[in-house]
Amino acid sequence: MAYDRRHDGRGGGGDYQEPKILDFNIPGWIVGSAVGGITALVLGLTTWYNVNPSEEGVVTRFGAYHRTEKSGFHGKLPWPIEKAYTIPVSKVYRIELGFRTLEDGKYEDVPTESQMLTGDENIVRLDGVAQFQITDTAKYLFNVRDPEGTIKDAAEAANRQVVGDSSFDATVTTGKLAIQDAIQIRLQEIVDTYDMGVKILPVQLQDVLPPEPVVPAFQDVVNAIEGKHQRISEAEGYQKDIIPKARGQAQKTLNDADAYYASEVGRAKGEVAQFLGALKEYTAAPESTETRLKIEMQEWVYSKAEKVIDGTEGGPLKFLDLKAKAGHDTGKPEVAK
Amino acid sequence: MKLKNLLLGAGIGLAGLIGVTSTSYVVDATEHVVITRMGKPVKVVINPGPYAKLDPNMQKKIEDWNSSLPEAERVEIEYEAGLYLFDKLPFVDTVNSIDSRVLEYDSSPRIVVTKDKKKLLVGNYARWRVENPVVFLQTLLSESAALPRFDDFVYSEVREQVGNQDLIEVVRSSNQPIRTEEEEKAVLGLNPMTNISGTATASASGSKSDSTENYQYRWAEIKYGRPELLKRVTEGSQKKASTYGLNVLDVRVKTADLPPENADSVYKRMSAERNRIATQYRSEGEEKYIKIRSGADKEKAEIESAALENAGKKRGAADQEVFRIYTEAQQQNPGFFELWRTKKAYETAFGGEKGTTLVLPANTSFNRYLK
Repeated sequence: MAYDRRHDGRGGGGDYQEPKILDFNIPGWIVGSAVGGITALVLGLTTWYNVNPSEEGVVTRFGAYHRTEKSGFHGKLPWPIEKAYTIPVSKVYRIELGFRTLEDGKYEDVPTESQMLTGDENIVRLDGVAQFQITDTAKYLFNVRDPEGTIKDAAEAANRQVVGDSSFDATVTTGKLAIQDAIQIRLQEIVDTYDMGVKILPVQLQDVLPPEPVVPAFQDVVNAIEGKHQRISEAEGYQKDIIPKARGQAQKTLNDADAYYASEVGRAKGEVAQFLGALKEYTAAPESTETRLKIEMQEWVYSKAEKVIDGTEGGPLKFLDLKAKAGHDTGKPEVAK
Repeated sequence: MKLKNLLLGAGIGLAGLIGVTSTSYVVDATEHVVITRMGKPVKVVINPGPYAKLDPNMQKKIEDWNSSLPEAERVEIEYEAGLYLFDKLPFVDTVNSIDSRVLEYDSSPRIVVTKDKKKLLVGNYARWRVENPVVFLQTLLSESAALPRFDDFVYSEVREQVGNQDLIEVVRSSNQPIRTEEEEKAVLGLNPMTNISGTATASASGSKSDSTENYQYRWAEIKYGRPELLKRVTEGSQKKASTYGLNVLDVRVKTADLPPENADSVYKRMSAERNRIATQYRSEGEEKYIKIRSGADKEKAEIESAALENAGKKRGAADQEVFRIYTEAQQQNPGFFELWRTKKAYETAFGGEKGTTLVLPANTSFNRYLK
C-alpha cells in the first residue's frame, strides 16, 4: 500500500492487480493520471518517426507492408498498429570477395574464396569487391531473410562462373574489364531471381594473381622479358658504337685518298715544272749542260758517301765487310759510272 | 474510487484483451500463417510479398493442390498479410508462423568425379522459399528439418549432372569465353569453327605436340556448360523439394575447385607453360641480339668497303694523272728527262741519313784525274 502510493503516474498503473487489502481506497486522481500518463507516453513515443536524408522509411500496419516514405518527420498510427523501419538507400554496400579487411586495416586472404579454376583449367587467385545499393526498401526488408549473405553467395557464384568462362591469361592481363562487367551483369541477373530490390554496382577486381606455387615461374617470365630487352639494348648499343666509328673511318679513308691525289698530282706537276725549266736551258746548250749535270751529280753523291776507290784488280777489297755496310741501304754496293 | 471497482474494471479489460488476442492474429510481412485446429490445418494465409502481388502460377498451384484434397481436408486460403480480427477459435486454433522470405542453403564442398575421371570439389548454395506452408508444416514442421533434405537432393542432383559430364562442362559456360587476342588467334588456327563435335580432334596434319593437344582440349567446344547443368540441378531439386511444399529458386556453384593433389599437377603444368614462355622470350632476345649485332657488322663492312673502293678509285686516278703528267713531260725530250730524273733519283737514293759506301773503280770519267 505504502509502496503503491509512492509510485508516480507513469509506473504505477501496471500494479493495480496486486494489492491484497481489499477495502483500501486509492484516490481517483492517481488512477486517472496513471492511465493518462501511460497513454500519453505510448502515443508520444510511437506516433511519429524520423527518416534521415540518406534513408527511406517503411511502415507496416499490423505486420503488413503499408507505405514507403522519404526523408523527414512523419506521423504514424501508434503501436501496436503501425511499425516503422528506416533503411539507408544511398549507402553503397560493399562485399569483399577472396579477402577480408581486418579491424586494423590489414587484409587477410581467404584461399577457399579467392582460388578458382579458369576456363582453360588453370588456377587463379582473385580478390575483388562487389557493391550494391538498395533500390526497393520494402522488397529488401521483406523478400529475403539474409540479403547481404545472399548477395555475397551470389557474387561468389557469379565471380566463379565468369572466371570459369575466361582464359587464365585474359584474367591476369587484358580481360580484367570484360570480366568485371560480366560479373556485374551475371550478379544482377541472379539477385533479380530473388526479387530483393537491389542494384549491383560495378564490380572491382583488385589483385588477380597466379597461385602461390606458380609465382616463381611467372616471375621468371618477367625476368625473361627483362632479359630480352636487355639483350636487345646491348646489341643496339653495339650497333650504335661501331656504325658511327665505321662511318668516321670510311670518311678518313676517302680523305686520305683525296690527300694522296692532291699530293701526288701536285708533286708530279711540281717536278714536271722543274723539269721543263731545266729542259729550256738544256735545249740551249745540250752538250755542256749534260757534262755539267753529270759532274754535279757525282760531286753530290760522292760528298754524301763513304768512298772506296779500287784502282787494282782483286785488291784488298775482298776483305771489306760489305755485308755490314750493305745492311744499311739497298743491299748492294753502289757502283758509280 | 474503491479498489473493488478498480479490480472489476481491470478484470473486464483483461477479459476483453484476452478475448481479442485469442481470436485474432497478425500475419507479418515476412511470414505465412497456417491455422491448425487440434493439429489439423484449417486455414492458410499465403504472404504475397510487400506489394500484395502473388505470382498467378503460385496461386494456381496452391489452389489446384487444395482442390485435389479430399473435401474434409481442404483449407481456407487467404493472400494478404495484416490483422485477422476475430478470425480463429480461441484456445482450439493454433497460429503457426512460417518464414515466407527467400531462405538460404549452403552445402559444404564435396568431391564429385566427372565423366573424364577428374575429381572436383563442388560446393553449392541454394535459395528457396516455402511455397505451400501447409505441406511444409505437415512434412517438415520447421526450417531446421528442411536443410538436411537439401543436402540429400541437391547433392544427388549435382553428382548426377556433374558426374555425367567432362570437367570442362562444369567450369565453362559458353563457347565464347573471354580470351586474349593471341589466344583467339591460336584457337582459331588450332580449333577451326568446323569442329562441332566438341572433342579435341587433331587436325589433318596429325603432328601436333602434346602441349598443342592440351591447349586444344582446354578450348574444346562445350555442349552444355555450367548454367545449363545448374538449371538441370535446380529443376531436379525442385521436383524433389515440391513434395515438401518448397520452391527452389536456384542452385548455384559457389566453389568448384580441384582437390589439392590434382591442383598440384595443374600448378606443375602452369609452371611448365610459363617456363616455355620464358625460354621463348630468352631465345627471342638472343635472336634479336644476333640479328642486330651481325646487321651492324655487315653495315660496318659495307661502309668500309664502299670507302675503300672509292678511295682506291681516287688513288688510281691520282696515279693516272701523275703518269700522264710525267709522260707528257718526258716526251718533250726523253734523253734529257732520263738524265734529269736520274739526278733526282740519286739525290733521293743517296740523300738519306745513312752513309753509303761506294766501291768505285778508278777508271771512271770522274775519277780519271785521281790517277
